[in-house]
Amino acid sequence: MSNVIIGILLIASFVFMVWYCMKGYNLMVGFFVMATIWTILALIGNAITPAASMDGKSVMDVLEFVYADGPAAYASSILVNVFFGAFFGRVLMDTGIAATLIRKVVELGGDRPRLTMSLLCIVTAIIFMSMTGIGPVISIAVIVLPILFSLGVEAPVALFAFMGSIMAGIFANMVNFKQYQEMYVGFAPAAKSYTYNDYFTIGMIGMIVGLVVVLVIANLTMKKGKSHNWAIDSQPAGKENAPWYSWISVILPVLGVVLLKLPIILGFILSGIYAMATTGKLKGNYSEICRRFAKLFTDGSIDVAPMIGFLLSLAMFNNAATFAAPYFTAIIGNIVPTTAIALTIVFALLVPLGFFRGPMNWVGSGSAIFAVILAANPAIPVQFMYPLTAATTVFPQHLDVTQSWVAWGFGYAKVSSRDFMKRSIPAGWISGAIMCLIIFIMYGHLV
Amino acid sequence: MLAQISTKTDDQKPNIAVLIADLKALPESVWCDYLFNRDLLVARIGPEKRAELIAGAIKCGTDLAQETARSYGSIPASELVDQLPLQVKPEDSQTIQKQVFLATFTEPNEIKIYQEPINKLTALKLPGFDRAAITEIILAHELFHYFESQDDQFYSRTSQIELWHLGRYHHRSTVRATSEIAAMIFSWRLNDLSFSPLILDILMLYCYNPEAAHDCYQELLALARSGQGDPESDQ
Repeated sequence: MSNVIIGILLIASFVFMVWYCMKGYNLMVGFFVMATIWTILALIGNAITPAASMDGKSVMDVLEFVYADGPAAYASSILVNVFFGAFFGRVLMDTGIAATLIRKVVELGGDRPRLTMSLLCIVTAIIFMSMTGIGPVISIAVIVLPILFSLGVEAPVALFAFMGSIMAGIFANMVNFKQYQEMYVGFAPAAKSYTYNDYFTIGMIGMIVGLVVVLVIANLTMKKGKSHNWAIDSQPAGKENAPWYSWISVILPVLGVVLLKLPIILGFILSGIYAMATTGKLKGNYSEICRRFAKLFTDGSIDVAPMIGFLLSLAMFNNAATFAAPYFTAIIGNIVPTTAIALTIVFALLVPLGFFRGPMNWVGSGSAIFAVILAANPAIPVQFMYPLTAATTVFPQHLDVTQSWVAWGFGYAKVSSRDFMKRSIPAGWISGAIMCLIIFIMYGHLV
Repeated sequence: MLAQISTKTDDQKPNIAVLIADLKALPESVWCDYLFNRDLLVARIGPEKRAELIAGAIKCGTDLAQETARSYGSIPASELVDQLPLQVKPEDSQTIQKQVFLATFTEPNEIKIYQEPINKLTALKLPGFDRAAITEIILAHELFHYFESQDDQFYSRTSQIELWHLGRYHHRSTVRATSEIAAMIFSWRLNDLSFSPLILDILMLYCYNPEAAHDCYQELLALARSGQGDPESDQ
């Protein structure tokens, strides 16, 4: 009975967290508070009825696991990827490669808003298979969004299409894969051998599904008639293009990891060097080149700095969720599906719970629920289960108002969250549900 | 014409009166190049095609202004709008960093005029730029896009450039600058202005971001000095 009461309190705190996210309060502090509340509730529960998850652990051990081991493990395994991903993002921006690709795509589509918007979304998705962080997002946004506006695409559609294409790219993003996979391994250690190469096919399919859904919704919600904006653009169209052989840099990290089996960080470094070499950014003496590298790394680190604090407090929360899992099991343990088809249906229906850092979202309060699901399905193949959790995480999260760059986009493009969510929630749900179905078709037989 | 333009260096920022005087002295060709340089496809258009498109756009705007005057008489754009099935909606603002939106025309018949930039400009109390005058300039510009949307034989809709081809498929596109130049010329002629309607571009930008306005001003002066905007240089 005490377990059920603790479970209800945990769920109540989770509902509070959803409200907290919707109000737009600081997420780093929010997740630290949540980690603390869940740890305290789990300690109280353990004091009443000893839980297996705390077996042999003193209070200090529990506190160390949540507040020290969580961020430390996260930093060693994930943050390094984030930093180098951000460095690579800066390289693509400073070499002009990303801007050149965007200009070339516009020249390919011409003055046809739907076609050019679609092409821009495709190239944006490809770029974000490797790039990460709010800095690169903003750097690309300030190029892409004014182009879409000048083509007469209304601001809510333009912002949605752009953020949606980032979402699609992130489904195949290496850094994000490592981030969520590491969390998954925390609850299912056998999944450690599951690599980006194993995930690559489903990642690419997810990217395509996300893009198609976003483009269909963007096109359907666009006004039918052509628009002309009298907008004052203080910048003439750019003319400095990066050479064509440098453009492949955008997908080099992915190719390096998939084809050459390179470690992710080495992939980013070598791709960054190639991008700089082919755009003449390695000219000068040794000291100048070193300074350039140092600046790119520093700028990249600044780009991701706001999310570092959040990710570290999220790591505390994830570890706290380990102790909270038995109490969720007491409430929902008996109703957790165990067949592939049932899991697929439940995940497809519950995709919207990935919004607002909800319980189907790894970078939200999903850790506790996923822990329960994995505990109820100890032998479930990672090839099936991991992509399901990725589908309910990536699609809602990267179209969510709690995503830093989406929130930035509202201010930049003067778009209301309501106008955005009219498109983003259906897009996230439909993409996620389709992917759940595809995952079932591809991997359901393994269960 | 160029001799009338201020010869300030980049570092010397003119006051608003000097800026307006300099901008008013700029010839039509400079404003056409200023618009063309902002087109997304500018890098794909060679000098000859560029000159052809600009000349065609000027003629298109001029012809429409004359035809409009013949059909409706010499009435201001605001009255013309009332005689047409157009919806004019005042909106607050749609200003994004270095992009200031003045107005939007959306087919089939919607004109949005953004009030915030107009309020800011009228607050400067510049002679000749009161609310009525600014509105007439903007409405005439948007009227062009309305007329353009009604007739698919407009030069700005028929003139295209080829972007690429694959086998027998030739991917062609209109050039948005052609439409914007024609709209500028239409507003210029219809309002019988002695200066380019695009002065509003710089003045509005000045209200939000004086640095960016100064950059545009310098760009225009450089165009005038280089002769890129000189009609004779195209020949």
